[in-house]
Amino acid sequence: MTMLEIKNLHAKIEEKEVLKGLNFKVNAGEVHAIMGPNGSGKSSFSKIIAGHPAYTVTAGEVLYEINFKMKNLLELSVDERAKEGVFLAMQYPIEVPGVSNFHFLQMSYNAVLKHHGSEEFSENDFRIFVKEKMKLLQMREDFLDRDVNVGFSGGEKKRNEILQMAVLSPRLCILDETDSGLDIDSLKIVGEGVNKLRSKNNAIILITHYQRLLDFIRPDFVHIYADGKIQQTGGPELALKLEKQGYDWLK
Amino acid sequence: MNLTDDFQNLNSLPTTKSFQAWRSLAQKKVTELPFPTRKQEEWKYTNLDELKATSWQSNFGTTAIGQKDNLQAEYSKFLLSQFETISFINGSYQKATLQSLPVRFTSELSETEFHTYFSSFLTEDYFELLNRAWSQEGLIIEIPAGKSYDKPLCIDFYYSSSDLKKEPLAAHPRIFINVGASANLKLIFRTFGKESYFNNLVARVNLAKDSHVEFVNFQANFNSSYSFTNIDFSLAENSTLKSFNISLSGKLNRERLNIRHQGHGASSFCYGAYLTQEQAQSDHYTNIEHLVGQGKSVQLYKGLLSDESRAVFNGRVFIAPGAIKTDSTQLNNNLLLSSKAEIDSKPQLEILADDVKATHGTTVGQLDEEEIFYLQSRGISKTAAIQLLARGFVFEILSHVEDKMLQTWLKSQLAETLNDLKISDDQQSHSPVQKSLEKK
Ligand SMILES: Nc1ncnc2c1ncn2[C@@H]1O[C@H](COP(=O)(O)OP(=O)(O)OP(=O)(O)O)[C@@H](O)[C@H]1O
Ligand SMILES: [Mg+2]
Repeated sequence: MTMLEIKNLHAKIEEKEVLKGLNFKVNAGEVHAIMGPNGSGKSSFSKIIAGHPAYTVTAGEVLYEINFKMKNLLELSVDERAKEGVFLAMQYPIEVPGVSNFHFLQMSYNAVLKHHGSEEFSENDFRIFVKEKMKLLQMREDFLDRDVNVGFSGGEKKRNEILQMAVLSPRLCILDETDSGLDIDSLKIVGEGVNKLRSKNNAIILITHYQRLLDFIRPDFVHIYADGKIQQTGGPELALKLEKQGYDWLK
Repeated sequence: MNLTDDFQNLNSLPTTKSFQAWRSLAQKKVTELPFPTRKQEEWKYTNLDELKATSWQSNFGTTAIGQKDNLQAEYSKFLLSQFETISFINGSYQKATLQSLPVRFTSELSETEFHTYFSSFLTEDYFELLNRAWSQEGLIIEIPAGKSYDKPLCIDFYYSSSDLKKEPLAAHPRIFINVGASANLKLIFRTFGKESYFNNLVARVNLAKDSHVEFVNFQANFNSSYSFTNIDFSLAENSTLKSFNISLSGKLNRERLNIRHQGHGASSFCYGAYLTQEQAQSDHYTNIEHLVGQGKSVQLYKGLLSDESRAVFNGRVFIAPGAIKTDSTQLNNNLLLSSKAEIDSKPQLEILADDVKATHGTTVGQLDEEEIFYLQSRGISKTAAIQLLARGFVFEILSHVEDKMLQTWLKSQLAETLNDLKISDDQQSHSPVQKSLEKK
């Protein structure tokens, strides 16, 4: 079943065109990898899906499946998208001083529960729940009491993103360079964590520069993204070709 | 009547000769002085025209006896039984039995004692003079040397309409506290009311050698009221002061904080959080004087301004010649939640000694749009995200409160104000170009 369908999407940020006619379709259960040169607009694409207010969509549409109907995603606010299962693990996670990681996670989780008409979790119940998820990612519990991402190392921030993903169990997960900044062991832990969250009901889009993440999370499709749109689509072998040859042959 | 009329009625009340003399000096001077205007540096950003134009009623002659219980019931959400409480109702002290505190009144003082508390020195500060000109009975608290009070001492100023005639009430309470050597005191001032009033408080606190004071000035006033706190701390050798000014509501809250480092090695930590809304104003004047060396002073004031509210931070640090190895920092951070809110922040450093460390800084900004986006992208609504960030911003101040119970109480009070925060349209609809993240 189609989960996300993007048609001829054009978008800009501060007068700079970043998406130039993007077409993209994702079905439930699929894993897509997106690879492309620096500055080609991959993060822009992911933030537009999440609803970042700095971007303006100038043409095209984004359809997203909600209750078996394809809805215009662009009409939903950032938090409504999140509550409907859109999740972006950011390339550069934001530090939020003064807000504890635990409080943030609990608020976030309860907002999603409430949206779906479920009862919210008490502090105690949530603590038990989140500790379980932290084990999956081998995260120390003291990260809960620290301010969101403040003073976290690059790799710790990335792991914290995946923890949020594990807590919220979203339907559409976009992982923007989650692998960069992770050491070899962390990459394995995060990769395994993501694999455990993978199911036939959700879809994952991996934005990455390297094959190594794809060794852990095997994609169904690999897309080459350049100049604001997808230039070529293939299977896992396309990533291996890029690893050897770079992007020069595309031109 | 205006604020300097009709001292005759007051002067006809029986009191001691020295008190009368002390008071009439101030009456004479305050009548001669012009009412402060914005032409004066200290009042440049604060308009007192309405305060001046209002017809005030003096508090003497009003009977407030027997009302304390009613008032306490009314304000019970502010009360904590764990506090030792002294109340002033409409400016008059309510005699109460305190379990452990040695409380005295100025009328009980002998002539010689009188002069230890009441100096004939006349300040230039208009509102302090006004307080002295209207003084009736001062409250004196002596904390014995070595004594340590676990229970915070709470001094409440209630203003109650049932007692008032037509005009709003102006009252001028005065408090002296001597904290003995190595003694330990937690002190809270709170002002409450549901009618217009003008609370013009003066307090003097002396910290003897090695003593420690944690002080909270909690101002949650009725929205058409004026509350001025003029407080002087004098710090002897190795004493420590922690001062918190929490300003949540009121037409004009004014804090005038004077701290004199008189003994070597004394430390003062002054924190402030002002959450102004609608047309409210919060005005802070701090004056930290390092008269001797090896002292440390820290100031951190944080403001969250909504609607058309305003705030002033006027922070003076003075380091006297020879006050070497003084370490002083001052920081004033502000978040404007509306484009109509205004902050005027003015640091003033006067350093006359070598070998000192003195820094200051001011920031004014809006909430970080990237932080709002991040929280929202995890399902938290924009309003909740803004409240969460605003809370994180001001709660930093409360993290410095040592007494855990006091900290919890303050958190709950601030949380209530934060939950009512109205998010103005300009913080709601962000245009990408307007990236006013003035973070330093
Ligand atoms: N606020 C902005 N103003 C102007 N240009 C911007 C802004 N934000 C991003 N850009 C530009 O948009 C282009 C796309 O950036 P984007 O971050 O989407 O690239 P990317 O493909 O994710 O790159 P990388 O692989 O390095 O992460 C870049 O040229 C970038 O400089
Ligand atoms: Mg990127």
